[in-house]
Amino acid sequence: MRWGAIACAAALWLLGLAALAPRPAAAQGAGNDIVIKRMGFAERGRNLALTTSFTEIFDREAFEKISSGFPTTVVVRLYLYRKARADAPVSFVLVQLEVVYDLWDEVYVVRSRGPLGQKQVRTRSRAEAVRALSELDQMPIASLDDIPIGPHHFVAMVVELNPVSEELLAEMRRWLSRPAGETSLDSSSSFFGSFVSVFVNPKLEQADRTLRIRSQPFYRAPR
Amino acid sequence: MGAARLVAAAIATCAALHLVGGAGTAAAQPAGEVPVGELPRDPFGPLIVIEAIEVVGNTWTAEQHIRRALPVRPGQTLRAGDDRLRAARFKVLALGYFRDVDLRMRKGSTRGHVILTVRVVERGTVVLNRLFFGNTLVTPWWAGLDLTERNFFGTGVGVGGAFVVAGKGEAAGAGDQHAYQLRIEDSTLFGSALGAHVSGYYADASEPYRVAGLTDDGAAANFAAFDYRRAGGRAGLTLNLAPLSRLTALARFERVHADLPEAPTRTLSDGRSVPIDLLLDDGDSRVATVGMLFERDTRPDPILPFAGDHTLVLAEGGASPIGSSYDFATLLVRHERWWTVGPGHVVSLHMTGGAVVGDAPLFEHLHVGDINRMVSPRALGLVVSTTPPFDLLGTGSDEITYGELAGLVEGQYAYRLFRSKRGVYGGDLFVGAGLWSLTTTRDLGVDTPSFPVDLLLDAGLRLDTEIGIFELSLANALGRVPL
Repeated sequence: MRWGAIACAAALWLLGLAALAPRPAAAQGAGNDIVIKRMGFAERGRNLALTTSFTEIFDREAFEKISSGFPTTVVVRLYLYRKARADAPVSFVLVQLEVVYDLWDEVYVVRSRGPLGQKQVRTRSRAEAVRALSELDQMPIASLDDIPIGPHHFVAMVVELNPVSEELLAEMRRWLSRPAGETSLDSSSSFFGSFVSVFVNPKLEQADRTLRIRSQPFYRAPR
Repeated sequence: MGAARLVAAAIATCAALHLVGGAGTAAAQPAGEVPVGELPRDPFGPLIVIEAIEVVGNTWTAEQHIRRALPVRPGQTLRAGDDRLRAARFKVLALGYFRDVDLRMRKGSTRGHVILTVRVVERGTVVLNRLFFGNTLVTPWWAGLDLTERNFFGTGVGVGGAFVVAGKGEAAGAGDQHAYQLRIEDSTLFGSALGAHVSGYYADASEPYRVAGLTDDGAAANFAAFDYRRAGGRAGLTLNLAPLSRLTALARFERVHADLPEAPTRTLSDGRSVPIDLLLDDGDSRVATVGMLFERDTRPDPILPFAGDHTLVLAEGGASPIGSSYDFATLLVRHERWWTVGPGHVVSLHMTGGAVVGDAPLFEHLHVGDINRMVSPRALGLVVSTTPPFDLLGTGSDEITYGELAGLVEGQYAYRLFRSKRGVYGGDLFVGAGLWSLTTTRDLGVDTPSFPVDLLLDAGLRLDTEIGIFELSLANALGRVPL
């Protein structure tokens, strides 16, 4: 009798779950889409060099915030993959681009750090500063020794605008933890023992904006 | 390389694999990987002097709370690219009072001086923490809720309350039950690293205890009930050791009045009668305790966790020198950890343990619902169910309702169903399985297994939405229906 009731309850519960679960396809999107983009590849010395841009990381709001006087950071992670062995990258490169507006000199100070070392430029044009933050020109991304002639490769790129460290994210959401003075191990007072918790819940992202970009396939030709 | 770095590296690798769209297993860590938190942060840009800080948009929240949260102060000299300025927006958001925070600078009165403007958009800060409701074999209904206003009249003080009312139970001698709690909390006293909270509690309970029947039969006819009342309060002083760790010193005092039946007994299936210890002093008694609570929570997202850990350790003791009628000590420990093992795949380990020594009052003993969430948990301290746990492994785990030693080890797997920026932010499907045990050091007068280990199974859906968090889980549903 008890097991029959349990089976009925479980079946009803599964039906409810199926009905309530949002459609993944419909809910996907917003920041998770992968964009295919044509990038420039060239052999420079003993390295493979990449040229590309990602100005779309700056929407109107982000564009204007550059002049706020506070720093703006773009972090670019570049992964080179061999197409037939896409389970592990051949190489990885991290590029960090930052800008801060000097209110008194009315100039944008742009700093880039990556495989080419550290570089700092100053410009009076906001558009030029944005370009410097969203373009990679002849950026070495891998040694040619690691890229055999013939097989297809591609580059996967994750671009984040003002990324937030996990520690800071955890701090921002700490208020979601149980109220002070909750001292029981009782599962009903644990965070997910609760059937429901209702509050105004603004979304806090790991970055202001994230782009996921993939290049066209390419291969090295014999010389 | 630190564990945090490894986890972050794994996340970055998973992100890359997600881009690839391949179904490969975990890849080797890409050479040169650096998590965001460990990127070199040497400040750059012009030297500036903070001349003044302006706060706008706060119609409700006191300005001083916002100023205290900022990592910079007027008069400070720093580079415009300093980390403290990067973190400023998030430190204000961390208060939990605002929907959005925007920071700007403008020229000050002299060259190099700047004026900071903090523009906040306030939001509702009332949180419905819990809903209590259900129906079991012994309680026809119970209902209640737990609410907190986190920013009471803009003071930054949290004021919360909870109540539970349960209908008259079916067990012999049972009555209505109700419990109330009022909490006041200031997480940063005068902007310092110290926090404080006080809470009051009142309960009028009707506690069921088994007088007959087999251990797997939770029917009301097998139970009688006795009444007791609790009234008291708890106070705590919290030291924020680090942004993600806190240590709380606790003190509690309660008055208890119990109307115990004379010589209560349980009739066993072989016809023998054995005495029952109801674990309370008849008439008036007091519970006075002091304790320490340590908590560390490094989860970047505590709603749909994918990394980090959460640790709770509580040690509490009561003794006659501090006015307690009961000499006892309790130790409760919980540790949980989450790992992202692939794009959209998270595994987690949850460990809980508890021990009670000495002459603890009834409600300080470990209840089966504390450790096995397939059983109705106590609602604000009230027992609303007599349904025993499922003895899935046949170890006799359904014999013990209150114990002195308990443990749970559970593994969970969560699948990221979707993520979105609006409305329903995200949803995870999860399944979990674990082993739990509750044992007693008391002589119950019946043969009890010394260390019964049984199975915990759960599965469900977690949703993070604009209006809060929701969970539909099998275990939670089982604890709310009369089975």
